[in-house]
Order: sequence, then structure tokens, then C-alpha cells
Amino acid sequence: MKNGAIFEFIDIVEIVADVLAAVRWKASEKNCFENCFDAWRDIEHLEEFFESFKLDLERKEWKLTVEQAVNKVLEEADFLEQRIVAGAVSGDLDGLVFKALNKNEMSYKKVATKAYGGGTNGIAMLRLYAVRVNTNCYLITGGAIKLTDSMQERKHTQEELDKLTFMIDVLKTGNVDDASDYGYLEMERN
Amino acid sequence: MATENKFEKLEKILGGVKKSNWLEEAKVRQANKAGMKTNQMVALYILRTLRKQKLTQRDLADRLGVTAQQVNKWVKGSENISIANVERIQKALGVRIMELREPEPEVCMKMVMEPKVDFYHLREHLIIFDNFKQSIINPLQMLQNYQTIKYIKCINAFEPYENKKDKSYGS
Repeated sequence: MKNGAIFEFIDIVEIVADVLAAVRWKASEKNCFENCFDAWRDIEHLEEFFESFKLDLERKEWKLTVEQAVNKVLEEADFLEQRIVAGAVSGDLDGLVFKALNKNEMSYKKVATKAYGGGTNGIAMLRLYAVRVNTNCYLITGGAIKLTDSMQERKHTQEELDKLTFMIDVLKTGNVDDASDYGYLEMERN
Repeated sequence: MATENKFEKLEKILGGVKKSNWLEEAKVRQANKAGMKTNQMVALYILRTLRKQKLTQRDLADRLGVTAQQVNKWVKGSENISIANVERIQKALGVRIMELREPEPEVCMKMVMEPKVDFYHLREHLIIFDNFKQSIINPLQMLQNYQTIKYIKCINAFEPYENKKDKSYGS
């Protein structure tokens, strides 16, 4: 998918009031946030995904079997969901961290973050891509399991990048001047 | 005074802001995640075994005499697989997915205080109780709803509970 690709959306869905909303892309019953979590819990999908990206799992930053990778995603997804639920209930989603993408390279330097200190090398696989539309207010455009350094290296992450940049253009055309930051969301572990 | 919804300004551009039920559904999932984890692990084991043996989900369905859709529900990891069906799958694939282990003594003591369980409710699961010398990966997780570990140790699998009511299982 190349830059400038046109995506069609239906509406946006509020996940957590005033903090998280997600785009519902055309031809999808659910919004992209829910679709991500459905996929990240679908064992059949995960097994097929990692089987097809086995070579990526053999890279030095991962060194995981398919089984280990599936378990890692399940753990990360559960942690993320658990913390968002807890934060939504308490009204405090402070642990939700927005990490801006490098606008030149459309990537970020992969460093161990405290977000997943207990995981493999402390690096998370899951990504929720979002545009920051206001202070602590994010519009999620999609998500992915990211196994490479940059998003351009794989078709499924390139597509997420295209959706992000597409949505930025839409918002700016609509005079949403706050839509200047885009990146991904991560939940910090305590 | 009502607080402005921060997403309302996007409404005109993006075609409306709807509410999601995700939060409520996620709370339910979080409450039930122990059981879900077991289903997921079994599903993964089945899928990896099918791949290793170069079998399809339909092949497994044929061996079990169930529909391919049923097998697909199991391997998604979201649907409960009964212990009886796990046993059937094990036989169909010639693998051991789960084993039973004799529980730790402190587990038995906890179970002593549980209320009487209707024996016949457990009939479906006798296949695992009948051969107690096997070991289970997580006995508490698999048997937590049945509260019968103490009973399993003491009774013959096919003897009705009523015949044992005078015998002591609590000490």
C-alpha cells in the first residue's frame, strides 16, 4: 500500500470517554480497536501469523518459538486490556504512554522500555496506532503485531502507517489543528 | 454544566461518534480469564499438533465425528472445551494435551470444606477421575468448579455418593 492511498471509514467509536476513540473502517462491523483485541486473542490467527513470520521470530531481538510468541501476545494483550479497564474505572489512564513515531523514518529506535520489563528483552510486540487529537486524547486508527524495526519492512505494518497518515490528512483538512502527533500507545508496567 | 466531549469536534469530520460496549465486555473477560487461558493453551496445542502432523481442522473433525465449525471454535481459543472432548482429541491425535497430577495435601484440605457435589453432575468427567495416577498441569484450574479432589481420592468412580455419606472424607 503506497502513501496517498485512500481508505474509507464509517465513523468513530468512543472506547474510554474523552481519552480513547477508534476509527471504524469500511467493511468492518467493529471499530479497529476491538478488531485488534479480537485478533490478539484469536489463537488460530496468532498461530498462522507467527508461523508465516517465523524468520522474524528468529532475529536476535526476539529468539522465540511460535508458541512463545503466541503466549507473549496473549500476555501483552491481557495486560493492556486489564490496565485500560482499570484506568477507565478509576478515571486515571496515566499509565497510557504515547510514543511518537520518528517522522523522518516512520520508525522508532527499538529500546527496552519499562512498559514490558518482564517480557523478552523488555520489548513489546503489540502496537495501537493513534493520532493525538487533544491533550491525553487519542484516536486509534489501527494496531499490529510489530516484529521489525520499521513499519515499512512489512506489509501489514506499512498499511497501518498508511492509515495513520491518511487520518492525519483528513483531520487537518477538517481543521483539527491538534492532529500533529501520531504514534503508538503503550501501557507502562509499574 | 456538562463537560464537552473531546471527540465531539471530530464528529462532523468523521461521521459521528458512537459509544462502544468494549469496556463492559472487557470487564467480563477479565473476570473469566483463568478459564480462558486454559482454552487458549489447549487451542494452541491442537493447532501446533495439526501442523506437525500435516492435518487440517477438517481431518480432526472427521476423526472426532464433529463439524469442522466446532473444531474451528475450539482452536480460536474462546470456547470451552470439555475435559471429555480434550480426551477424545488426545486419542484422535495420539498426543497428551493434559495430565492429572495428584494435588498437594494443602489443596485437599481446602477442598474438604467445600459443599457436597452432586456426583452424577460429574459423570461426563469420570474419564479423568478414573485414572488418577496421571498428572495434570494445573489441577486447580481444571477442577476448580468441581470441588471434588477429596472425593476422587476416596470413592470408587462409579459408586453413588449416597452410599458413602456415612464415611468420613473430611479428615
